[in-house]
Amino acid sequence: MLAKRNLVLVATIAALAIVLTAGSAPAASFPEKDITLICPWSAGGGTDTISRALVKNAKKYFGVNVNVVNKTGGMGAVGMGAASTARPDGYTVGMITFQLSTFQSMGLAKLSYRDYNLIQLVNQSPAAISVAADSKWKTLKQLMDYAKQNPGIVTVGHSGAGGGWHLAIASIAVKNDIKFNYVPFDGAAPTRTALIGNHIDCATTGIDEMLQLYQAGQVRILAVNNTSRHALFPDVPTMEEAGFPNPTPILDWRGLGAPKGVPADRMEVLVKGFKGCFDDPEFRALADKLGLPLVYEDPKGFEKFLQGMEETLVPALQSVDLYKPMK
Amino acid sequence: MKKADIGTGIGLIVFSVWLFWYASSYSKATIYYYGPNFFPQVLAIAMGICAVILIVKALQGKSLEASSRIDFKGFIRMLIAIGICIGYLLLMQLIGFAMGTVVFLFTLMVFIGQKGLLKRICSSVAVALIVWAIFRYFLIIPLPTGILPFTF
Amino acid sequence: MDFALLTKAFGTVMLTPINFVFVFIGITAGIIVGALPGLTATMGCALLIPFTFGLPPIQGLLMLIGIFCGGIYGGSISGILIRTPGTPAAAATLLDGYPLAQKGLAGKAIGIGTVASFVGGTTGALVMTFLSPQIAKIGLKFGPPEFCALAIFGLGMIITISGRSLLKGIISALFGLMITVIGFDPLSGVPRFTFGSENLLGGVTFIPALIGLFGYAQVFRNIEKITTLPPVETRVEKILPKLSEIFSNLKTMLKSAVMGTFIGSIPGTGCDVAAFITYGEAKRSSKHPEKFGTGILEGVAAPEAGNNAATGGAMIPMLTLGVPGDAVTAVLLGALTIHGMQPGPMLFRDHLDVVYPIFAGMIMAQVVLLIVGLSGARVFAKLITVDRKILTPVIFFLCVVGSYAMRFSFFDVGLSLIIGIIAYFMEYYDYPVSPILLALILGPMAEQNLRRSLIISHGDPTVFFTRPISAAFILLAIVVIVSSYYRIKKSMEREQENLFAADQQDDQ
Repeated sequence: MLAKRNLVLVATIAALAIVLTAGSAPAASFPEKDITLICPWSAGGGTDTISRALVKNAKKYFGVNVNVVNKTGGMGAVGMGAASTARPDGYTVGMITFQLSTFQSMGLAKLSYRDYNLIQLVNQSPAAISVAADSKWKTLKQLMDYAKQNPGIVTVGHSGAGGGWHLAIASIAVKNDIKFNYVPFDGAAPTRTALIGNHIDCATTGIDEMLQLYQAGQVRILAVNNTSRHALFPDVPTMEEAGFPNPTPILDWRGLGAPKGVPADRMEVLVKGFKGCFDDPEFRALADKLGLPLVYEDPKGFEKFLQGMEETLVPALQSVDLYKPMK
Repeated sequence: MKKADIGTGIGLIVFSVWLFWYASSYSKATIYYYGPNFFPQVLAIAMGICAVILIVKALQGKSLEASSRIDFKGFIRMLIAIGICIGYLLLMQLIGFAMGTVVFLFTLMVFIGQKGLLKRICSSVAVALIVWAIFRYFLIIPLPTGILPFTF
Repeated sequence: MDFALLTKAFGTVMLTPINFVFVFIGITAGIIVGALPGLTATMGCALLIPFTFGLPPIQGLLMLIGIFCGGIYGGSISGILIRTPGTPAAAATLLDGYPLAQKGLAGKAIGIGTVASFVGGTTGALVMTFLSPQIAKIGLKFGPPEFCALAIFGLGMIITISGRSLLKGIISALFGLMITVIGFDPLSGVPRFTFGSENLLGGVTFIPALIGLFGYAQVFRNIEKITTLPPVETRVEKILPKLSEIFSNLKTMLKSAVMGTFIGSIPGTGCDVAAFITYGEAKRSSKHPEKFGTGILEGVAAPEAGNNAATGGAMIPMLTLGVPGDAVTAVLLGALTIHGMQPGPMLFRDHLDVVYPIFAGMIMAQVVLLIVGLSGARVFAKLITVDRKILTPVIFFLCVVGSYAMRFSFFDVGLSLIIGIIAYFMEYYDYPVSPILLALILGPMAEQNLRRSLIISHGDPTVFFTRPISAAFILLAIVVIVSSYYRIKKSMEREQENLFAADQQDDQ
């Protein structure tokens, strides 16, 4: 009785196996099934929004869908780590973000951009220093002068210690011998609320994160930490114009990477496909609306940019006592 | 529960001391007024105080009566079930999520004494397939697929 | 407030039958996702955003709102039936919901929960419709000291969920708070207690911890006692609550609804906090606090009204300020952005044509929720009568999936199992697990805002007492803690006396 049942079971599995293997016979083309894009930050956040918007029309460029999967935790280290160690068949790629540049130098994780076959850079966002609309400081110069005379008094909100915005301002402050009282918040949204609720004197965020409040006239942006002005914020001066030249600004960035070892022909498909997604008018329109400065770099340029970023970050991290390189 | 309370209390005191000591290594790592060591150390002190009260109360004979006791045979059964679960987690990597689940559910049902072979097979296959389908087609979340071509 | 526009928007949304279909799909999907342990309303929304791409923005949003409300509601069903909250917001509901189900009153518990959800949800939606800008202004007054005071107030609820021994409740809560310090400290940029593990860098993930504390622990108990546990019988004639039972709980529901809306509207506190605080308040102000936790309808009505009211509340800061009130609204914010509408002050000024349909959708969702919930209660309640020897392995399996699916991590499954084993032992030694959960929710909020306040005040601790809102919350916390303590102690003594008297009578 039992043997008979087992026989039936074996037969069923065998039949199933034949059907399934026949279905997935080796094909020459890549990709032949959906691609997974690992987003290292939680659903609903900025990186997640960009990832989902980027691959919204992926079918047009790849012939298959790209599905976004959130693998969060560890300041992005978990998700980015998962993308770097995924099976290198090209079916798993990952969103990589600014934190990747700081993991090693902050002693958080062994991960760096060298662990990926880079695909492309997606955006670079500059930091902005903002004050509430009714603040007594009208220009960056006034703020900096006041801070110089009263060291440690001016409270500067930012979205997390060791994050891009914190480091961007800290490096400028150190250069000009200014001591701020940094108040770390858990992300950009609470920083914003604290600023317009007058709980902090000024805030450092990505400039695009201030777009709504800026348009509504609730904040005044004193300067943008970049070498050129931002199209959506035409009257916001650059650091240099505000009197604090900073030729190598720390920029937040997001990009795409595949695990090391993806075959070259598949990498080519990925680079080309994601370039298509990147140039998709719908994605462009959304990025414009968000004030997100899209910057494309091909794998080579991306690598160069990341190399430069790591070099710029070391002194900035040292200035806030967070430089603890991995042994 | 007097003995248990005293034992737990001593354990918690040791743990609190360790926590306090371990957290003190963070104190120098910051430029802020209250560093990363502050909160864990406050917790360690609070836990230490609670543990002392727990012991004192137990010594005074004020411990609560246990409301129920662990059944030893059942406890062993539970440990074996956890073992089966760990086996399932390993098996899943090998033969895929859906198939692994069928095996897991079937084994566990046999283990805890579910009668009726048909019932066991049907319910394990149905549950595994439904959840697998929800993940695969509705939520589009990748699950372990196993290493062989026909596993899923 | 533009009433003509508001009426028109309500009319257009409500009178388009297809909109009902989308809300219905959303609610149903939400209930399923919410009821499965480990799949939260947050995840449901996030995963279904791509589905809404193809839809017109309003309909896409209606569906997401449906998932949000349905998900929060659905979590309670599994909480009541199998003592495993599907979403964190349901963890207060199971305190009385599960005992009710064990008495064979699962249908009634779900029924009253549904009505309470409706009352709460509608209150929240109405407040959101008419008072959003005003409430947003109050929200702005909350700085770090206020958040810290609020967290302390919330932690004061430990006293009402501690069970037999307050001391052990506090020990549980401290244990929970200790868990929250694991991981990267965003204030100083230092990883704490991670022992070099990247998996712990982000801290102990909340959902796997929730599943461990409740789901696994319950499965382990069931397996241990599988041979001795009596089968649960659902008395069919009592499957739905009577009207009189609804009315006698109406006051609790309304009070919880108002409180829930307010708590939800504070950025950073969501449905889960609302559920615990409303449960605590219902117990504190009740005439018979000792009956809470033994399975009474009030104990289900209060947190259910509270957490569903908080859905409406949480939408307020999201829409008016662009600051999500909790994790789900953070996802909704992302969805709105993808659909080309960025929430914030500009949305309210320039896009009332988008805002008002959202209001209408929230109210519509409550009606659909009531219909789906009440018609489903019968079916859900039957689930519990499934043979325990089949049900237990299935719940075990759902726990594994739930802890895995949060971030596709076997590490989390293992962690969850370990927490489950700890929780299993804790219950035998009378350490309640709910305070751990409350501590996990409020711990980071308390610690970060405590330190943040002290940074802002340059190390001066009086900051908590010189600011009016913060001082008020701390005072309120003290009043609530002291009064709960005495009321609960008194009622327990009374019960003891009654028992004693009863014993003596037996002896004679």
